Amino acid sequence: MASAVKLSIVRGIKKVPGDTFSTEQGVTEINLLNTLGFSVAENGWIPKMPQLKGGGLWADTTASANDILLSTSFGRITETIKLTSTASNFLSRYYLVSLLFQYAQFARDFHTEWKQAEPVYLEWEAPNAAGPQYALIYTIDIVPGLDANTPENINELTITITREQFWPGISPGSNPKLWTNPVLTVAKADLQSATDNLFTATVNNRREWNAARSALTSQNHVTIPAASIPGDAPALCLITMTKTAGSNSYPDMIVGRSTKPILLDESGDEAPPDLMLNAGDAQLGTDCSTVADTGAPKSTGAATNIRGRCTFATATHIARFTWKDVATTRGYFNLSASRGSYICLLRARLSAAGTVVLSLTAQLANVLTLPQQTLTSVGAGGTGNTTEWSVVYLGVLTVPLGPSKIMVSDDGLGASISGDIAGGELILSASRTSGAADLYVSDLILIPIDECAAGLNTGSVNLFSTGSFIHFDTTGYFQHGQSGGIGIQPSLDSIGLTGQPIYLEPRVDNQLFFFCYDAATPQASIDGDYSVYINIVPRWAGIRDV
Amino acid sequence: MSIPTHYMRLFQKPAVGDQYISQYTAMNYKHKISALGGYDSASCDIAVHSRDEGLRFLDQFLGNRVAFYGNNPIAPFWEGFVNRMTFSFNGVQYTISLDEMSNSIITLYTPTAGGTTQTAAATATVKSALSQSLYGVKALELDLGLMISGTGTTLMQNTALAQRALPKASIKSGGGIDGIIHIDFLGFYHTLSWAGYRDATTGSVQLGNFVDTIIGGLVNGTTFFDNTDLTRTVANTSTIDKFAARGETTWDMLMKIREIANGSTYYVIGISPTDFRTGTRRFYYEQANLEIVYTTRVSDGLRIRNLQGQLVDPWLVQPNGGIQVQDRLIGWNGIGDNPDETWIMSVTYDANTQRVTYAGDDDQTAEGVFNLKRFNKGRGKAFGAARRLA
Repeated sequence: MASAVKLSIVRGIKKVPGDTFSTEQGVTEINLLNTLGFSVAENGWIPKMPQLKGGGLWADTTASANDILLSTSFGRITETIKLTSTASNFLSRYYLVSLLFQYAQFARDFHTEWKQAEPVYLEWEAPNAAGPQYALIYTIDIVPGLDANTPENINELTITITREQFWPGISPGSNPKLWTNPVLTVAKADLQSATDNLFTATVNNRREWNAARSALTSQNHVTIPAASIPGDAPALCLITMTKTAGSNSYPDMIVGRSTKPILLDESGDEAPPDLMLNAGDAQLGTDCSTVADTGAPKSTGAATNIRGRCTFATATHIARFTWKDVATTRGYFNLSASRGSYICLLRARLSAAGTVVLSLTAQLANVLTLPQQTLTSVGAGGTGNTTEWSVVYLGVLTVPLGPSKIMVSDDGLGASISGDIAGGELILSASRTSGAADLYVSDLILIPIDECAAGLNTGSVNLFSTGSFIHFDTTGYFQHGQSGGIGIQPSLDSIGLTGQPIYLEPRVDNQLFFFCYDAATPQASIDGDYSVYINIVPRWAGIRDV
Repeated sequence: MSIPTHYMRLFQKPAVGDQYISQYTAMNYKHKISALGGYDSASCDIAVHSRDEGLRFLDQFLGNRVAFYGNNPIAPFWEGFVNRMTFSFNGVQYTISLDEMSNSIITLYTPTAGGTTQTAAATATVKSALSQSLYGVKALELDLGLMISGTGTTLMQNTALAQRALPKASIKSGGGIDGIIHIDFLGFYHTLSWAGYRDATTGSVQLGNFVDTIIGGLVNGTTFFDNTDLTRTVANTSTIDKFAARGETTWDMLMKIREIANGSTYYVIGISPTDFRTGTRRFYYEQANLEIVYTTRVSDGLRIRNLQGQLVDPWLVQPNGGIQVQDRLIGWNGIGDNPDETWIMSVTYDANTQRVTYAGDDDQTAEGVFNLKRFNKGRGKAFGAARRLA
């Protein structure tokens, strides 16, 4: 251990350089690699790797030779460090032990008492590592190794530390911009600034292709490239959002993550994560047509704003709009390339009072129909971005429609995507049970929830008043070092997140899909242009390599 | 893959409002969902940081609405209200519950008038406006038996109200884990047992209309669900006499109607989950779904799959549908009921083991088969006939 660069027990969060009026307490530490003071005995500390809690959760059945692994999660790490302390006299030696005992109390109290708000953590920089790494400490137990009455000015003791299972690349509670800006100053610290972030993008509350189908002109997802997410453990992240002037603001938002690789479709093109399906791109069923509507998104290829319309000359429950792949034509939806579990939301409304029953069917070899839902809302009709569509929750769809996680072909070539019609269909069926209203459809929105998806529900406070920001945070910054996910709304009140906190998978592209709406009504328009700033804290199970 | 953390989202008491208050990680979570009632019961533990925080929780949140979320951020998988809490700290255990609370009391008695004619009587209802404004109406009928008319009946009534109007807390030494609040929840259908139903007039009514009448006349109105939304009560033209004077609760009456059915088909009743579109819950009275909706295999650890073979998350398994065991356990000669299939009356879920167990109705063959393999606990019928009063 003598060759380690740094090993300390630290308490507190560093002040940002240049912040002359900081209310942070700053840091204090116990250096464990002091020539006069603590030092780690030879082979006194071998950092452990995370282990599965309880070996994982298994289903044990006598009817099968093999147990079934149901679930896994990593537990905290408990490990020992053998220390020696060298002091100039007895009292100094006793003081070192007393100081360690006090830090142990700080560590426990940070998790159990309101009074202690400063995190206590290990700071470690291994030889030839890319930099320091940190681990939040939960408990420290101290076992002295020598008789307290011996006259030597040296002491041996063993401490047992329980710490978090992974090593973040910055200290707990720090501004996550520190990862991208190792020399973080007041000028760069602002989380509301569009600069100095790891990743910045724009998301919209709609998805549209250009007329040539060569690029998306608006989209509700961002892709964080693999190169931006080092480490080997799920990365913590801070997602900050604000709206551009003029955009609608809503009190509710969903964000879902997908890291499944983008597959090639049968045309040899990448089948992009295209999970907002416009009515203008659907195959039209009985009594259906498209109508110009500036409140609806542009359809692919035509690049004009159109909505779907069903007049219900035949009022029974039959297929009305079908989204499916079109041979050699980019920009259409390929169900077989879109494996995962999705919340399915439909933006639609009625032209007048009435009742329409809707259901979504997925057809891909097997057939799955979600439960029927009722639509009675006329939304708030208008032109352009003032149109408020009713948001209909159609249920959860899991693809592929079978016991496997991925479709495999019997052509012997392994994983496959079916092309053209065989690529599968999403069918919106509808029937009118009362009134004489037409059904207007804007788009079908799929938000992935099989990896992690979070909802921010403020109840009434609009998320994006002009100039205000919201944050989804798992870095611990907004909780001053405590772990767990949290949502922060514009008034800086924290609100609980429904669903699961958002972590990023390391070393793969991560796609985040967003949708903003008003759950109370429920309604949403296609209007909505939001700036997204993402900052991460990568983590490692072992020694940091980046 | 790790089990998605289960979160408890806490809201105001339904009689007070619908505002969100706070969110907690739910540990040791369990729930039961029944075809008769819907969300039936649940329990979990939450952690607090101090004695004061725990006592404040007990003081403020009894009766509050809760919703539990997993991996789906817009649809909870269980909803109900806080019925009972136990908090342990420093060797002391504090408990508070709605079980013994009553804020609307009537006494029934048969007055001894000295003659040979005895006619049942009842006092006027006394109530606690404060308690009802917080918790809704929870009624109690005290039967005093033979008792002369006079102040004794009303004194008894007022004494009971004074004692029961607000929930009581109790303290005992020992037990529990420090800093943990154990909470027991009930589904909203239990509030249908909070008031009685009476109609002293006779007359034939259609059962479907009778359900609508009972639901529409609830003393708690729209407090716990939207009793004006009758879109999930189906027609049933079979008739009974509407006379009801035995002191049955509203739930007893509805269960009686459900059991009578229509001479051929099984019915289910309960409170639906909160509708995404309306933000409200509804009462449902409809024919049971006897179609197979789930499959399972003993060799697969009895994990539940849908008809496409996809695994169903155990916290999402629902009753009121059929399940088929696909690796047959016993030979069946095609005569009588197929023991490999059963209609699911109720499901119980344990988050720690990720196990969901399901109970059929009175099909002992199916339950017995499962018991042989020790994958399901034996359980009796979840709900019997309506309570019969002498």
